[in-house]
Amino acid sequence: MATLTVRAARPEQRSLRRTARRVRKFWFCYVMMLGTFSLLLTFSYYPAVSAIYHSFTIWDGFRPARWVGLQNYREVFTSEVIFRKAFRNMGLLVLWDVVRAATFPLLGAALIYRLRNEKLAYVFRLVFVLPIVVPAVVGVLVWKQLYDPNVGLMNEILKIVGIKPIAWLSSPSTALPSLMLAGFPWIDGVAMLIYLAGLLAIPSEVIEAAIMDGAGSIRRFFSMEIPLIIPQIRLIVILNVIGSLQSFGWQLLVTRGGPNNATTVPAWEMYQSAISSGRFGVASAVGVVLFILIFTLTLINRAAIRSNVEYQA
Amino acid sequence: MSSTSLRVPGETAQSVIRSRRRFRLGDDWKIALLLAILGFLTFVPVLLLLGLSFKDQQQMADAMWLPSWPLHLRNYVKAARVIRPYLMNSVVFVLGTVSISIVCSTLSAYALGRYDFPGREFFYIAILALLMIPGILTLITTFVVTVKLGLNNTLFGIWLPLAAGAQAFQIIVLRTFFASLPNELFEAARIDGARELTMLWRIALPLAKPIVSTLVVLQILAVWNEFIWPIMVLSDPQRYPVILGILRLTQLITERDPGAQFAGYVLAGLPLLILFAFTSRTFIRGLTSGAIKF
Repeated sequence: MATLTVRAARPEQRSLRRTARRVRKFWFCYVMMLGTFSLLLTFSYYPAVSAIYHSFTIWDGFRPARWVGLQNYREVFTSEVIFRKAFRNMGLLVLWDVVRAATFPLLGAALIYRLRNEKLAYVFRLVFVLPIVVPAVVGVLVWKQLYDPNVGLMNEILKIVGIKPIAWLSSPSTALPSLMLAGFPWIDGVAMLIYLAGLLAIPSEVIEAAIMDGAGSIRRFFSMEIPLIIPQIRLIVILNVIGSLQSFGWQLLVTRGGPNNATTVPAWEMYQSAISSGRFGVASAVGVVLFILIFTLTLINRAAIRSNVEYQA
Repeated sequence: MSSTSLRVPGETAQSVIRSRRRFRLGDDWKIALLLAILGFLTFVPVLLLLGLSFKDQQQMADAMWLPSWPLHLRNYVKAARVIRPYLMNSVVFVLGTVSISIVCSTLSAYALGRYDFPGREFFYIAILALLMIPGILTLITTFVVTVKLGLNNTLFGIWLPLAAGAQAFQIIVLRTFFASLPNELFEAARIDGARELTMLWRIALPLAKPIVSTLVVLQILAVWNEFIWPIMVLSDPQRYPVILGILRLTQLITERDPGAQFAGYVLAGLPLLILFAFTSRTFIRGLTSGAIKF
């Protein structure tokens, strides 16, 4: 293309020629990215497009799909199980996750921040981070054992206190709260470290001034430390919400969404629709709805960050 | 944990900050006590698991949740025998995924961070756009693609999709680092006639070692703990990673040794504990100092 226009050097042709020359000069860059983009085209971009397209079809995953417009979405939003129960459960779990992620690790971080002894502070950081070596599956299986209605520790404790045993995961009324209780006391090590990083970045002059003014430990926590680490809190909350919307580990490993759909969530219904019922179109529609939810939340978060910066400036 | 591990050179920057906070007087022991209680509660499930893993059937029946003597190490021998092939599967999954992923992301991040080639913006935005695509949207269709390519029940069916999933995060972190390296480092080598890949290998990678190793550790953790994808892609339970292998312990170990099942749970997490022992300092420092930006 460049060779044809050697003399007639109109501006756009000249820039085209320059681009062609730079493509030849930097050819190796495209080769370097070949691996990544082959992986991404096959296992990320194409599946994303395919999921959105097939959410408008009836599809068994392998034979040609049949276009049905919004039928799958209509089903998702009118289905008793998927919409009423799964989305309600998801809402409760996400809400709980927000509260949990914003409080308990923050409490741990604020306490460690107040320790004057450096060695002790390091040891406690280690103590709260160490549980990340416990695989999620093992955590779920241990809690399942604790909840066992006959031999579980939870009912043993209730017996000692003198309360009637509870069925925990086996009863529709207590199953979802049991999922929420699991992981007590909910101090997630990584979140705690990120909060601690935020606290350590507070300039010492600010603390000094507050102490001069006679602000006590608790007062400093609420009116100084929390406002100053809002960015960290928001990061942890948004990461937790995004993770919480997509997770279905308990359902896959233990509850299967039961008993009586008490613990089902949309992600689990999606998995079931595709893998057990072969209804890949409906599954794709659930996936797209979750995608839109996550996308919206991310955008709101972005907007909040921007307005916050303007406020500071 | 030996006391020497508490003193590390990199900690000094933080020590300065800490010592400046000497004025914050308070009751250290009260705070420490509260933290100790919270720390203990955090570890209760782990301690209970350890307790169960050493019990025989009689001890289980007597007092399931209390510690009891003697400890039955036999449980671990038995569990290890059952679990070994699954451990090997996990190791193979981790090695393959991490190698493919890190090689691809390093090459791409280097190209995107160091060269102003036509289309660079486009490719980088294409990477950033991945952050907006949640795994849940592509889970089912990636499964379909994997099956259509005939990769289900193969190692590549585990390696390639998991490596693809890690590209965005790794490329973004590494590209920022590569772009921050001063040009002079590379100009000198270029004058000496070094080839581009040589410079990546000799100059950029040695400097990126701490970041690359953090990314490797994070990915090892993620792949070791991955259970949804293997359940979907592997129809033969013999090929399961250890994290799913432990689900089969109940069937494989006879009723006489309920403790062996729990010993298996412990063994499934043990490699991560060893990994953590070697990397905890980098990990904790990296996160506390805010070195890894999200």
